[in-house]
Amino acid sequence: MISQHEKAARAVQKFGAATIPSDDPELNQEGRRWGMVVDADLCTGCQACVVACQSENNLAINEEQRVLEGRAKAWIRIERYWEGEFPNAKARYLPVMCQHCGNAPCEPVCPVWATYRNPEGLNVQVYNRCIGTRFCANGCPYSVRFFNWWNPEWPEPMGDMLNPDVTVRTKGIVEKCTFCVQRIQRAKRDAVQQGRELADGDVSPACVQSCPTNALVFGNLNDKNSKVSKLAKSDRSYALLESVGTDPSVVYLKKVDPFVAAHEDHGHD
Amino acid sequence: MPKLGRRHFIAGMAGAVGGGLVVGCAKPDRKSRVQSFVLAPEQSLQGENVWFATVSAHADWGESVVVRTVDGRAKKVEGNPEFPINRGKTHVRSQAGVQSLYHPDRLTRPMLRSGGRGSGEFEPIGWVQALDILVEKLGPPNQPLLITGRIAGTRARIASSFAKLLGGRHLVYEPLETTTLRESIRRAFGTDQLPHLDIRNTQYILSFGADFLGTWVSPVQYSVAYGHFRHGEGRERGLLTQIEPRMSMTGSNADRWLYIKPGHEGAVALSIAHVIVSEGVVSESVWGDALEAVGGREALDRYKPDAVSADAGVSVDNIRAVAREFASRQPGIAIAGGPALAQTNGSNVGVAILLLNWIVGSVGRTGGVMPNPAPPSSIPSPLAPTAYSEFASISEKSNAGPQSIFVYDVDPAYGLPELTGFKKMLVELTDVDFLATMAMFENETYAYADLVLPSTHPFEEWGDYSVEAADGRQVIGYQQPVVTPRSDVRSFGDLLLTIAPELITNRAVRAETMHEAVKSSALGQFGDANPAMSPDENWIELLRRGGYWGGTSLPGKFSDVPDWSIDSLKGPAFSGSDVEYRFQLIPFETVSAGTGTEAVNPWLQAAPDPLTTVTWTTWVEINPKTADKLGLKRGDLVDVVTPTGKISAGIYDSPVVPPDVIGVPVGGGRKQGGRWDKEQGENILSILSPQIDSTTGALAWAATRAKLEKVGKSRELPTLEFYDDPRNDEEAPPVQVTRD
Amino acid sequence: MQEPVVADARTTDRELLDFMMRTPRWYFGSTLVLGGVLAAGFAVFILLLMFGLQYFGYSHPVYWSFPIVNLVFWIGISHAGIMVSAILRISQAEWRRPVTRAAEVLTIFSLLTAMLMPVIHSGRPWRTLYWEFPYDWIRGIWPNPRSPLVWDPSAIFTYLLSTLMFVYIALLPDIAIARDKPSGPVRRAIYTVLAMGFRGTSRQWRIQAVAGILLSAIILPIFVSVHSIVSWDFAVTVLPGWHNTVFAPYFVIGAVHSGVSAVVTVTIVFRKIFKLENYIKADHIDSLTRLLIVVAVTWAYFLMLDFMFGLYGEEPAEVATWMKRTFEMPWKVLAPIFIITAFLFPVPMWLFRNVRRSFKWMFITTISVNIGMWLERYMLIVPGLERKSDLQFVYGEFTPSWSEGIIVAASFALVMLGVLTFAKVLPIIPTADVKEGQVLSETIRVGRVEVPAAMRE
Ligand SMILES: Nc1nc2c(c(=O)[nH]1)N[C@H]1C(S)=C(S)[C@@H](COP(=O)(O)OP(=O)(O)OC[C@H]3O[C@@H](n4cnc5c(=O)[nH]c(N)nc54)[C@H](O)[C@@H]3O)O[C@H]1N2
Ligand SMILES: Nc1nc2c(c(=O)[nH]1)N[C@H]1C(S)=C(S)[C@@H](COP(=O)(O)OP(=O)(O)OC[C@H]3O[C@@H](n4cnc5c(=O)[nH]c(N)nc54)[C@H](O)[C@@H]3O)O[C@H]1N2
Ligand code: SF4
Ligand code: SF4
Ligand code: SF4
Ligand code: SF4
Ligand code: SF4
Repeated sequence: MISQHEKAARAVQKFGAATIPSDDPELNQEGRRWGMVVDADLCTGCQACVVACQSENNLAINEEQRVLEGRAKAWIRIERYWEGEFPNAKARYLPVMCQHCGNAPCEPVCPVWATYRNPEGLNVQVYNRCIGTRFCANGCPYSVRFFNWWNPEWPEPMGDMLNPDVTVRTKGIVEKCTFCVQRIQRAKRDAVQQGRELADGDVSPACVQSCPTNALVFGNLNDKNSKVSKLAKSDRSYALLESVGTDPSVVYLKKVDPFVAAHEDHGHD
Repeated sequence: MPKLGRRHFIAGMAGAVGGGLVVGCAKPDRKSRVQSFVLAPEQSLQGENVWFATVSAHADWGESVVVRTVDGRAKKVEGNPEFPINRGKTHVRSQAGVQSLYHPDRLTRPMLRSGGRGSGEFEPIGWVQALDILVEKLGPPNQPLLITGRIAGTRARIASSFAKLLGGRHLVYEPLETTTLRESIRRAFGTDQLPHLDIRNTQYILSFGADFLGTWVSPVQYSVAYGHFRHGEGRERGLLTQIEPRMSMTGSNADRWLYIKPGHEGAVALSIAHVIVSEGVVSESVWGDALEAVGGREALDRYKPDAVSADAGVSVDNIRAVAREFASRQPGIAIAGGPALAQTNGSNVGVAILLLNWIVGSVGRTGGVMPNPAPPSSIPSPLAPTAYSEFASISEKSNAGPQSIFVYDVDPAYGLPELTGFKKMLVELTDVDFLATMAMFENETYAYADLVLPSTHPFEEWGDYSVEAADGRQVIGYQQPVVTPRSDVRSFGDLLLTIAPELITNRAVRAETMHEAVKSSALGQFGDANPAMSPDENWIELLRRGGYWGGTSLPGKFSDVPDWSIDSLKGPAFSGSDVEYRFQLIPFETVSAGTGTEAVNPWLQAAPDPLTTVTWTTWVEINPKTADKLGLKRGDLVDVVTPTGKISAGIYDSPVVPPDVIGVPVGGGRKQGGRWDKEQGENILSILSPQIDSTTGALAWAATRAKLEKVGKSRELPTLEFYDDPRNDEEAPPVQVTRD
Repeated sequence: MQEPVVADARTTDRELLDFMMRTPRWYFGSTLVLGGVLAAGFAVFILLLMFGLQYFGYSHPVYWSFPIVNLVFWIGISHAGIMVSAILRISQAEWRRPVTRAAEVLTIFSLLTAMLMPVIHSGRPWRTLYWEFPYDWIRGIWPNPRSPLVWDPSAIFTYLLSTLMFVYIALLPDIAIARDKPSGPVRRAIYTVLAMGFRGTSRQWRIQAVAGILLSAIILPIFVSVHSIVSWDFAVTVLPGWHNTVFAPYFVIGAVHSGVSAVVTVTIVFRKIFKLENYIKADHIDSLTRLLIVVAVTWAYFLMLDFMFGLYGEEPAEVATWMKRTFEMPWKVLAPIFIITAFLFPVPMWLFRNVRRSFKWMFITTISVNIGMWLERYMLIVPGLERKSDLQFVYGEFTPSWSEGIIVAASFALVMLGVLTFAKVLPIIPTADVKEGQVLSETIRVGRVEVPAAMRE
C-alpha cells in the first residue's frame, strides 16, 4: 500500500500543476482548468446543494415512483457511508457530482461527440447532439450521468420557474452536472463587459453558492493563487476512485476524525 | 510596444472594417435597449436578470434571500450575501421557494363551504362576499380566536392587535414546540431573547439533542459558523460532542456521539458539572456565584457520575471524558434542544444543560453564549409559541359559547395529538360557530372550514422580520413582493387591515396596506439610518440590502446568575410502561420536509433524509440487531403503537439507532394537501400522547413510548441508497478519514 | 464416408424448388403467427418512440440490457453462415453442400435484425440513423472515431455487404434454374434480371467458382473482426466485469458456438418442413457436430480464462462483480442454467455417435446451446453495470419488463419470417451446388475400376 505522504504528493502533482488537455490553446488563453474542492469534513449532509442544483438546472421532479424505480435524477447527491455499529456507529457524507475528469471514460465512447472535454477542462454535454445510446452513462465509473426516460412534466404554472439559461432536456438524452456552465459563461461575459479579468470567486455554481458550511469550493485549478488550488494542495486531498485513473477535476479532502483508532485511519495503512 | 492580445487585435480590426463579420470574436458591448416602463410592470427588463432581496418563504429563523427574476417570473433563490444571518447561504427549504410559488395546487380564490360541515366541499366566491362574511363572523359581538404560526414583525403586531381589539385571543401554534427552550433560557440567562451562540469562535460545542446544523433555531447561521469552527483560517479545528437518544443530522457530524436515555440529559449535564467542579479543572472564581445561586456544590453531589450513569445510559468514563474536554477546550458552548427538551421535565433539563455555560465561564464571552438585544417594539421577532396546555384547554373554556376561529397558515387539525380536546373540537365542529382558514394550500384544517381564503406566497407580499437568534446585534429583514401574484390572492396582513377599520384609526397601526404599515415602521426606525440620504432613499436602501443590522440602543443583557434551583430537576415521566411499550419513540423533524409545512414541494419531498436517504414517505428507524430479533427487514411494514393510537410505516434498519429507540420523522400523512403531499406517509404527531412539561405546559413530544407490531407486509422504501448489501471495502473507502 | 445424394437432376430440381412453386397450408399459419409477434414488437417500438424508453426495465446505473444482449446474440448467430460456408468452401468439405444456403440466409437475416437492436435501444433513433453515418461531412460534423459505437456500424455494414455478395454469387446458378422453371410472368421477369444472364457456360462457371472462393477468403478476417469489435463495446470501458482482456477472442468463439448450433437447428427444421430427407442426411449433421465439439471446448476454455483473469488481478471491484455473478440472486440461478444449457448438457451428449446422428437429439441440444448463449450475453453485460465499485451509492439492479420481452420475441419472429420468405422466393438448398456434388460423386465403371464421372478442375 502506498503511504499517505505518497498519496498526498501525487495529489499535489496531479491537481496542483495540471496542464490543460486542450487541442486548441487559442480557445483557452488564460489556461484555465475549472475544478472543485469538496471537504468531506465540512459536509453536514444538509441537502441544500442538491435542491439548489435542481432549481438552477431545471431538473425534472423525482416522483416517489421514480425513486423506487431507481430513475431519480440528481446531478449532485450526498452519499452516506456507515461505519461501525451502535454505539460506535458513524455516518460519513460525501457529495458526488460529475468529476469533470481530465481523462474521462465517458468521452471516447460517445459515437457523436455529444460529450467532450472543452478547452477549460469541463466535461460538456451537448444535448442537441446526444442520441441516447447511454454508452457514456455506462462508462462513467461515478455513475453521475442520467438518462431521460420520458419528457419532463411541469404542471402549470410550474414552468414559470424554469431557468431560461438552461436547456430543458427532452426524452431520450443523457444529462449530468455541467459545473453550471451557464454561470461560468455569464461570469466571463460580465467580466469582459466590465473590462476586467475574471477573478477567483467570480464563478459560483449553484451548489457551491448554497452550501452553508463552504464544504464546496469552486475555481480555477491552474491558478496557483486561487482558493481551490490552495485547498487542493492540502495533505488531506484525495481523488475518488483514484485507481481508475480518470484524473478528476474534483478534489476531495479527507474527513477528520480525532477519535478514529490509529489502524482505522485510512490514510496510514 | 504593448503586447497586443488576439482579442484586442480583432476588436481593433473590427473597428477598421466594420463589425459585421467578426461579431463572434469582438468584445461583447454593453447592451442598451430602450424599453418603456409602461410595458414593464414588474420592474423587469426584458430578458435581463432582476434580483430582489426578500425574506425566505420557508425558513422561520429569518433568512434573507435574493430572488432572481426574469421577465417578471421568479427563477432562483440565493442567500443574501450581505445578510449577517445566512451570509449568502441558504437552507435547503429556501431553495424550494420558487416551487411553492408556482405550485399547481395553490388556492387561487376565496371559497365558501357548499356541502355539509367537514365535507370539504366548497364553491368559489368573490373577495367582496368573503370579506363580508369574515366581518360578520369575526366582528363584534363575536370574540374570535386567531390562530397563526410564529409570524413576526408588523404582520404579528397587526394580528395581535386585531385579536385584542375584537376581544378575542391570538394563539401561536408550533407543532414541535420550543416553549421549554425559551423557558430554560429565561431561567438560565434571565432574558426573553434567544442568545447568540458564538460557534464561529468557540473551541467546543456540547450539544444535548440540538440539531443546530439541520433544524434547530437558526441552522444556516450555525452551519456557516460551523464551517469556520471546523476549518476556519488561523484557528484550530473545533470539537463537537452530541449527546442524544437518536442520532440527528448534527449528531452524525459530531466527533463524539453519545447515546443517552431521554429525559436524563439534565442529570448528565449536572454530572459533567460535578466532574468539572470537583476535579478543579476550572477555577472556582469562574463558577462560584452561579453554582451558589442554584444550590451550591452540595446540590451537585447527588449527580456524581456513578450515580447518574446507569439511569442515563452514559458510561462514567464518557461523562468524565466529556467533562474534561469541555472544561479544557475553552471557550465552549453547551446547548439543549430537540428531544432533550421535549420531556415532562424539559424546561428543567434545559436549565441544567445551559448551566454548564456558567460552570466553564462562557456566558457573555466571545466564543461562548452572548446576549441578543430586544427587537424594536414595532417589529417583533417571531412570536413565542403558545404552550400546548392552552390549546388543550380551549375546548374546556368554550363553555362560554360557540367560537369563531380564524386559522392562518397553520394546520392544528393535522399537527395536534389526536387526544387533544381542541383538535376534537375542530374536527367534530362541536362548539365551533365559524371556522375560516387562510393558507396557500389545502390542509387538514381547511377541510372543516366554512370559509377558505387563499393567501399570497411570501414572495408576493410585504413584511418585515426581526431575527430571533441574531448575532448579538439587531438584525431586521425586509420582505418585498418579488413577483405579482398570478391569481386573486391576498396577503394576511392586508386582509386584516381591510376588515378591521379600527386598526387603522387605532394608534398601533396607521396604514391601509401592509406596504404602508411596513414602510412607516421602517421609516420610524431607520428613516435616518444614513443621514446623508432622504428617508425614502433610506427605505429603498433597506429593501436593496434586504434589511438592517447593526448597533442598537438597547444592547442585550444576561442576568448575573441563573434563577433556578438544582433541586427542581426531576426524572422524566413517559406515557406507556416500558414493559409493554418497549421502545422510546423519538419523533424528529427532517431537514427538508420540516414539520410537514414543506411537504407540498416535490423537491423537498424528494431530497433524501441525510442519514437514511429515504425520500417521500414516513419510515421507522430501528437498530439492525433489534430488527433481526423481531424478524424484520428493510421495508417491512410495522404498526407503531402508542398508548394513544397507531400508524404503520416501513422500517429502516440504521446502525446508528440505539436498541431501545425508534425514530419516526414528522411531516407525513397529510390527509389534505397538494398532489405531492396528500396521503404521502403517515402522521406520527397524531398518535403522540398529550404529555406536557410540568413547568410550562409545553407538549412533551418525545415522552411517548411505543411498541412495534408486525403487519406482515412489506413495501420498498424509496431511498437514494441501493438496498443491496454494500461491499465492505477497507482498501479504498470512498470517504477517507484522517486523524488530523 | 459421406453418403452421396442419389437422384437424377430433374427430381432434384423438382424437390428442391418445390416450396417455391407451391405453398403448403402451414406456411400461411406460421407467417401469420410470426407476423403477429413482429407487429407487437413494432407497436412497442412506436410506443418507445412516442413516450421515451420508460417502458424498459432499466434503472440508473444499468443502462444497457435486452436490446444489446440481442445485438450480441444475433451478431453471434450471423457468424454461422460465413463460418460454415466460407471455411467449408475453402476446405472443400463435401458435406457442406446442402447446408450452406441455410447458413448464409440465417446470417443475412440475423445481421439485419441485430442492426435494428441499437436503433430501438437508443433514446433518439431518428438521430441515431443519420448521425452514426458521416452524412454531414459538408459541415464538418463527423462521428467520433474513438467510439466503438462507430466501429460497430462500420464493421457490421462491411460484414453485411460482403455476405450479401457472397450469397448472391452462390445463388446465381440457382436463380438461373428458377428462371428456367415454369412460374408466373412476374416471377420470371424478376428471376431473369437477377440471374444476370447466367447460362452455365464453362467460363461463367469458372468465374462464379473463383469469385466464391475469393470472397470466402476475404470474408474470414471480417468475420473475426466483427465480433471482436462488438466485444469492444464492453472491453474499452473501465467497468469491472466489462474490461476483460480476453473479450475479443472469447466473443468470436462464442459467436461460432451459438452460430453453428443455430445452423444445425435450422437445417433440421428445414429438412423436416421442406421434406429434404433425401438431401440432408445424418452424415451432414454428424460432421457439423464434430466441428461443434471443437468450437464448444475452445469456447469453454475462454470462459475459464475470463473467470481466472478476473480473479488473478485481485481487483476488488472485479472480484466483487464475479461474486455477485456467482452467488447473488438472480445470477446464482441463471449462472448454472447458463453453464448447463450452453455446455454441460449438450457437449458430452455430442460425444455419442447416436446423438450426433439423431435429428431429434441434435435439435434439442442445439436449441439448448442457444438458450445458454443468450443467457451468457445477459450475464456478461448486466452484472458489470450493476456495479460493485467502491462507490456503493451507484449500485443498481435490472429487472426486465414486458416491453423488452416483446422486443426479444419480435427479433426471433423477424429472423424466422425472413428466412421463410427467402425460402419462398429463392431456393433454400443450393440446387446447383447439390447437383455438382451429385455429379462429382457419380462413378462410371472403366474396366474393373470405378472412377469419378467428373473431375474437379
Ligand atoms: N502497466 C501495463 N502496461 C502494459 C501492459 C499491461 O498489461 N500493463 N500491456 C502491454 C501490452 S501487452 C501491449 S500490447 C501494450 C499496448 O500498448 P500500445 O500499443 O501503446 O497500445 P494502444 O493504446 O493500443 O496504442 C496504440 C496507438 O495507436 C493509435 N492507432 C490506432 N489505430 C492506428 C492506425 O491505424 N495507425 C496508427 N499509426 N496508429 C493507430 C491509437 O490511437 C493509439 O494511440 O501495452 C503494454 N503495456
Ligand atoms: N479490455 C482490453 N482488452 C484487451 C487489451 C486492452 O488493452 N483492453 N489489450 C489486448 C492485448 S494487446 C493483449 S496482449 C491482451 C492481454 O491479455 P491478458 O494476457 O489477459 O493480460 P493482463 O490482463 O495484463 O493479465 C492477465 C492476468 O494475469 C495476472 N498476472 C499478472 N502476473 C501474473 C503471474 O505472474 N502469474 C499469473 N498466473 N498471473 C499473473 C494479471 O493480474 C491479470 O489478471 O489483452 C488484449 N485485450
Ligand atoms: S465523472 Fe463521469 S461523466 Fe463526469 S467526466 Fe468523469 S466519466 Fe465523465
Ligand atoms: S448517450 Fe448521448 S452523450 Fe452518451 S454516449 Fe450516447 S450519444 Fe453520447
Ligand atoms: S441551437 Fe444553434 S448551435 Fe445548437 S444545434 Fe441548434 S443551431 Fe446548432
Ligand atoms: S456544479 Fe452546478 S450542475 Fe454541477 S452539481 Fe453543482 S449545481 Fe449542479
Ligand atoms: S450544501 Fe454543503 S454541507 Fe450541505 S449537503 Fe451540500 S455539500 Fe454538504
